[in-house]
Amino acid sequence: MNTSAMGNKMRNTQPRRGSIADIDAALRSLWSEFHQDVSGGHTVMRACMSNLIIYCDTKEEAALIGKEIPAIVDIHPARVLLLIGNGQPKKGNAESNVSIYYTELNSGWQVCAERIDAIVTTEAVDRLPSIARSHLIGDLPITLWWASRLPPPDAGDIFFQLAELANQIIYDNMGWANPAKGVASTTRWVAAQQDSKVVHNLAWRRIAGWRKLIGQVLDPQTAPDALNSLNSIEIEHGPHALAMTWVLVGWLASRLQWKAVDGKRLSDSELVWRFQHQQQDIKVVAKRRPEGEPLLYRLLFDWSRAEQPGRICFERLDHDRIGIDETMSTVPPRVFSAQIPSRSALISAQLAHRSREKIFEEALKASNSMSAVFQK
Amino acid sequence: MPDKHYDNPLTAGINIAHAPQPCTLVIFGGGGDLSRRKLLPAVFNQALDGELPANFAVLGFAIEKMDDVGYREFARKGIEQFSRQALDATFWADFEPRLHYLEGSMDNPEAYKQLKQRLDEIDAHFGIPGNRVFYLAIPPTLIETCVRQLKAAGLVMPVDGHSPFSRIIVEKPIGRDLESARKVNATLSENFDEQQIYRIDHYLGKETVQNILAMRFGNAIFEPLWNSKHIDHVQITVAEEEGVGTRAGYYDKAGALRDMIQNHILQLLTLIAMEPPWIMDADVIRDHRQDILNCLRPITGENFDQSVVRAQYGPGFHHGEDVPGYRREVGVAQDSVTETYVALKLFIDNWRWAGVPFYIRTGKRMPKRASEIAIQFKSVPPILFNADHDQPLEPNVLALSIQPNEGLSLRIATKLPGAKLKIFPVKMDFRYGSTFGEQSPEAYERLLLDVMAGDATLFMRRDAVESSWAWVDGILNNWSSSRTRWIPEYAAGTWGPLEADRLIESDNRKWRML
Repeated sequence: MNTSAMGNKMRNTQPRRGSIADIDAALRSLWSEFHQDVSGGHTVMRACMSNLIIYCDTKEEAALIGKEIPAIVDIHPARVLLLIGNGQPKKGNAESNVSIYYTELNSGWQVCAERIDAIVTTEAVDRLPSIARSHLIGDLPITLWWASRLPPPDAGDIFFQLAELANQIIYDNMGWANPAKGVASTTRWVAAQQDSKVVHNLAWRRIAGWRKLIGQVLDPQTAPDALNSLNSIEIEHGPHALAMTWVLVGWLASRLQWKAVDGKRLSDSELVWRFQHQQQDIKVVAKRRPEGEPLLYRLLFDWSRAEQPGRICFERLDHDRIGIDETMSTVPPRVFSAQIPSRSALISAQLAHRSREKIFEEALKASNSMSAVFQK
Repeated sequence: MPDKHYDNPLTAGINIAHAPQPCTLVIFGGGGDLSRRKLLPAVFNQALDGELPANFAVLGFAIEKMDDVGYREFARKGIEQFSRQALDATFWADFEPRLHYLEGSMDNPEAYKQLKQRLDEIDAHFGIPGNRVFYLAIPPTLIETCVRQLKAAGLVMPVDGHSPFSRIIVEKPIGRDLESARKVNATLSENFDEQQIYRIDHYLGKETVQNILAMRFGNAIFEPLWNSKHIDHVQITVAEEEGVGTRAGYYDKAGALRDMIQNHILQLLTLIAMEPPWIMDADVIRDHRQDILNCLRPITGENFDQSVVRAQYGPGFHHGEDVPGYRREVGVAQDSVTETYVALKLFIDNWRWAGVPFYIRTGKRMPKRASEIAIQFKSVPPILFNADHDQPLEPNVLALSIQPNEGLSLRIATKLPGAKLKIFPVKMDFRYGSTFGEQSPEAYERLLLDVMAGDATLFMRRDAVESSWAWVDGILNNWSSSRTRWIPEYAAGTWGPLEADRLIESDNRKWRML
């Protein structure tokens, strides 16, 4: 049995290519060979916690995701169904690749995941939901990770059918071509979901560290009046991070009960919103840096009043830390641990989260209001 | 619950009851072993994981001569040696400015004035609104002095919903008997409100211990069986490989009953035996645990010798090496009758547990380090698969392993493959370490965060400490009145004395082989 190493400890079997109808047989055969050739009979199947359906559009995206799967199943053992909508099967319209992931224990082997890739041509994409449906493990939660670059509802039927199978839908707004439009369609769709379905945007987890930090540093205990008196916020973000910035501002607006009044594009790289709260104007400017990663780089909060300056400027120092810029702030400088989580870490953490998050949904609604004033 | 609530809409969605609040952690005895091995590594790991509040600092207070720079070096060495996560140079550079040190004597009022001043400076620098957690990592004899000095220096804030919080963490042992425990508690209560006092037992911070409640009340299949109708008996074992080591001074005055049973083991017992709480609230859970302590049948009178065995380790082997007996250990009196091993049979006189024996054993110099709670269910009727009287089926056992490998296992009977009908016991194992990819935090990490969040669920309340001492005192008094000059011995590296085997075997049961 051929195997390949996937990092420090995880390995997987060589994928077994076949037709869609061969998936079950291929899995059985892999297990059997694994028992005989590798594990010497000492195999443990780690508690299988979920079904994870992943949809992506191209084989290039699938290759990237394939590299992340070991890290995901290391934390959250699962059966993974990777569906590739615009793939290039070697024969016919559809084919499968099946493999298992395992790790070595002191006294044997432990299987962490089974992975089934279903690759179809664009014409056969409507077959993917039925392929997924027949290969799910019963009695386990089902999560759909929508890894397409299209906002989920904009993808149409393929998304709606896959979403129907799932208890949880994870999507990512990073890199959306038109965040305003994507936010609007996604918000409408999220609002229409039954209570039992959890919808989650990875951007929400990406900004979790920022939300926690902002909430703590601007806490009325430590910065009295800051939240009530905020009058201006400047955010600098990297390329492809506008949609994430949008969600952050939506969160602030929903929590602080700001009403979006106006929004406009100042240039290709700069947007501005005007909010109102208790007859006070709050100006939020989002600027895109010409280069960099899709991150939030710098956040300046200003609650200065006449003769009483109040400012704090957070700056991402590197991938692990956020600092307070002394020169721009009226509070003492400090550095905080704030690691940028990998996408696989975000996914594995979210897989274990099984209830709707009201705060996120409210932030999404506020983001939608921000889109609405932009569209006027 | 937190002492004080602030209206911060940006923390909505974060579970405030479990969110650590901005504070300074003041470690009395900050230059000591507990600080170096456990507390500072715990704080470092919390910081590395981004769990600490943004506005947070540590101040070590102790008699050792050190300054901030020296303390940071002290902390770094401890973290390098004992932290579960490696020390990263860049992160350390950001973290170390949060560590401070003040040299001072516990009984010097001037030192507490300096402490107050230093804390005010730290508050101003780190934006901390005066919240303080005082960790007493000091010998029990200094608790009273320290607590009174804190109060006298104005460092204890009232619980009035407006003032910053002052919380105090007290390490075991709380007293050495009921009378002394009451005295310690009285001193604490004179100076702190009960809801400011966190009596720590690190056993309760372990993942498996917390999982006891989740397992019992989060699964429908266990609780219906969790009573005297279905459970034959319960065994709790806390075995240590080590001898008395460097703790002889303390241990020879305490012994296994005080050191292990009065706190760790009785707390485990309450979690196993308690009734379902109606809400996950600290006081409701502690009330239910207290109910169990109230129902413990005193061990006295003519059944005493059939219910309690104490013993001392003699010379033997540890991992193949010769090791001395207890009385030959450095710092131990040569005629010491301090027990290093205790085995007990106890009963909980309530409706659920009537007639179910709980067998408890703990000892030093056992063959391996192992802590486990085993629930042994009653045997199936002696018919069908269990009809062979010479080879009865082994009963089902649910075992919760607390250390070294946290997890649980269930022993079930199953048919072996083949044409013959042969039944064999198999063990279904669940281990935290290998089932979940994520590392569990150390017990101290979890418990420190709980204190910062104001969640006292995993801490002992005054009544629990005193009830457990009241029960243990019955045994201690019997021992002291016997005035014996000899107690049974067991060879180091064995599972205890023959007397302990007889204790359980007289009931036609056996100690589990761990």
